[in-house]
Amino acid sequence: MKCSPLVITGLLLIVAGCEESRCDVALGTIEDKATECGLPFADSIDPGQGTCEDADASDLERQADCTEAASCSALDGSDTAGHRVFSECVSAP
Amino acid sequence: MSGPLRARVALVLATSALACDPLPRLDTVEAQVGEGFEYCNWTPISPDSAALFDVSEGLEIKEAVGVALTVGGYWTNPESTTLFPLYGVVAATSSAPDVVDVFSAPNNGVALLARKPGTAVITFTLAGHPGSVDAPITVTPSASFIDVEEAPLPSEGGGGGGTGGAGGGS
Repeated sequence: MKCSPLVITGLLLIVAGCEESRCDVALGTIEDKATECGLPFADSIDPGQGTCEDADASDLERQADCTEAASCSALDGSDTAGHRVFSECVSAP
Repeated sequence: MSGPLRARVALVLATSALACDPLPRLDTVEAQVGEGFEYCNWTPISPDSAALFDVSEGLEIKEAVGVALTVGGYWTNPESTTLFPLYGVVAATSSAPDVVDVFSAPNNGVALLARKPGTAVITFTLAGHPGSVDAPITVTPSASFIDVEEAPLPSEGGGGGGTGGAGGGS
């Protein structure tokens, strides 16, 4: 099949603007951990949606690192001390 | 350009536009005071939801009292004023733990402990969503705290905020 320049442009838009971004990678990490711990997450986020601004990506990457490092009991709040560490990690500048 | 090809191009562009909608950003946190509500003052978000408040409007707590909150995060679609619930793991930190300390509790719960008179800001974050919401907290000396005789009960006014909202969540 021959592709017209318009089709190629459209595909480039997707690849350039909405490829698996830093946000998607971070969201995937958070979603995996949430799923592992039986915590709510997936309903409100659809990895792949949304533009990934640098500031958002930095936010989400920090959250992903903190989430991945935390235990399930720290994430669900049953481990108070662990949750404090997680919260401070997420809020770190 | 042929008809089918034109349709395909339109589909590609539409898909691209959909995929590039803004990422849901935490912009509102609503809370409901569970335990300790008789030692708190807040501004209800509406008469129909007397137990619910927007944390950015603040909460006043009597000195040396512990209160339990259930919180829910929301984002606002730029094209509407509707609050859409967000799900995730709540993180909360206090700017002044010596005034108000914050602890976690299961099911989107947060416990606050008012240690001494003063002010603090509790920052809420929801894992998986960029942004955060600040809740100004005022701790009032016990002697000067005006008890609200008709404080709304947590069970009043719906209190759930919908699925994922205050009182809801996981």
